[in-house]
Amino acid sequence: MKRITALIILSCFFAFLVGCGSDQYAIEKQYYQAQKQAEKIFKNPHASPPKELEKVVGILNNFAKKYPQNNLAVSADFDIARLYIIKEEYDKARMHLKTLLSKYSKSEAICSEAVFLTGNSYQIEDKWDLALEQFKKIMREYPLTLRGLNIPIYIAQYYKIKYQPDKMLVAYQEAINHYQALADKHPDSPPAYNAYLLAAQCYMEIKDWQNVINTFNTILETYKGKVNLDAVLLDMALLYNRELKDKLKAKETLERLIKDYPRSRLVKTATALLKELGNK
Amino acid sequence: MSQQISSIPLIKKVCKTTLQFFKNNPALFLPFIIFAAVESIALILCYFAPRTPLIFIFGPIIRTFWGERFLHYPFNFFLLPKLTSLSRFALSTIFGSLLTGMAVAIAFDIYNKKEVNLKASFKSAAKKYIDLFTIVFIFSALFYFLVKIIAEGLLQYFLAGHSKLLFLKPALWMGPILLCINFIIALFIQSAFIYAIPLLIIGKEKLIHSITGSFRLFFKKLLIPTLILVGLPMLIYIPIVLLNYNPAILIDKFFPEFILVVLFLGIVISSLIIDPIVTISTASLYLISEQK
Repeated sequence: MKRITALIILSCFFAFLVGCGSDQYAIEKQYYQAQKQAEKIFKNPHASPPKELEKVVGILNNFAKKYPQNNLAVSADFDIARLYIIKEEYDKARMHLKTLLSKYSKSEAICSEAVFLTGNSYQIEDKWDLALEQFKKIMREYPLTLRGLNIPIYIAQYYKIKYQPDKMLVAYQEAINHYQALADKHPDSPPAYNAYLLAAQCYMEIKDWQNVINTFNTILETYKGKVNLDAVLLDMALLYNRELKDKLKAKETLERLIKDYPRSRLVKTATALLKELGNK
Repeated sequence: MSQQISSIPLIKKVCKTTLQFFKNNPALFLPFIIFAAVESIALILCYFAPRTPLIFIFGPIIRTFWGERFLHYPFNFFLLPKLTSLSRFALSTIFGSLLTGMAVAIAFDIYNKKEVNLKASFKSAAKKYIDLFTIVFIFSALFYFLVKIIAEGLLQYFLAGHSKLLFLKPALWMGPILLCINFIIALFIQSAFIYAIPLLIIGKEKLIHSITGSFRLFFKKLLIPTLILVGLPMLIYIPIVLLNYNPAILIDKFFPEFILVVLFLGIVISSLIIDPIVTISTASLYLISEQK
């Protein structure tokens, strides 16, 4: 019995020692607790008193200062900006985001997110011109980041939501030019591949089917053997079939998919489609 | 029907005997306390698995089988019930089998009005360790795989595009109905194997005979009383099953560590309440029925 008691006490002591460590897990726990505090404001921004905002901002600030090398410090910094935005304290949000630009100047991805959130704050305030200025800044300064790649489409979609078709068409054309320029500047690179795909997406939005096919063909020529292009081939076949009503080309493309990528998970769909086309 | 009526006095007698066993001989709790302590240590280890230094041992295992995210706070709490259930499976087979054998041996001594000798009881169980291990392994594996097969079968059925099964929606099947099916499987498997250990330790039977004998006793002689003696205490565990059903709600409404509290309560209820009652009451039922 004594041995068992000793074993239990030893285990508890060991557990206590483990629990006291300041490892990544302990940092994540601290961040989670800070996030839970912030969640109260996010859920009910108008009901939370200003003191609460200052308290949570303080907690998140301390966290970011305490663990500057940790990835979660970046999340905490962005949480602060989002808290100010949700509480409609836009100037404070932008000021904070400006400090992030210098704090994380080495990381283009973080900077692009900071600029995007700044633009978002203007957008919420219904100051689209100022927002657009920020979004264009992302296109200019951080074009290869994830946000930088997606922002031209984001702008066009804004006009689509706002029922401004002329501006939308112009924005999509600008996006296509932007993606073409990117692909030309970084040939054969992963960003160029993404740029071609996004350009194809833009052509689809404006229903320019022939240019979608042309872009897909460029991708197939440039990236054959370098990237899995089974999804591109399937999209192409669907386009031939549904939009261009060219059953022969659709069949050829599906057969190419099955021949070039026999192990692809899309082969099953391609075979079924081929069967369907054969029956028509 | 006649069997059910005649079961009531027998169950009453078994309950009375079991109560007296525990009241007069608290040492009978010892094997169960030891097992609860071992389980608690395993729970603590699972809880600290994502932390230094345990992460060096558990990290690669968790990463390989479940993914990186379960090594981070608070996602590790989503995995904790699964880890605890797996550790219970392993611990029941390795330690639980031996300790249950020991408890049955103690109960036999008490029933025969002999002085309780923990060392002797432990030795008599240790002599049959391989057989005890095999019985508990077969029983646990059977339960584990049956539950897994049924859950997977239902999942595949609904993933195949079926919107209903027997006029009921997937949410009902994958939720309360699956819980009920699991409960019934646990009840029947445990009841069918419950006399194997008394037959092995008290009846001095061989492994195969103790298992077949247990089936015979359960299905031919003691079906209703066994189901009642095993099933009723198991009902106490239902709140824990319900609480463990959706950890996300508990984490969101309370705090992540609440999962740990629920799992610890689960250990207390299963190892210190249900297991002693089920093991000793069925051992008493076996002894009383053998005497008759």
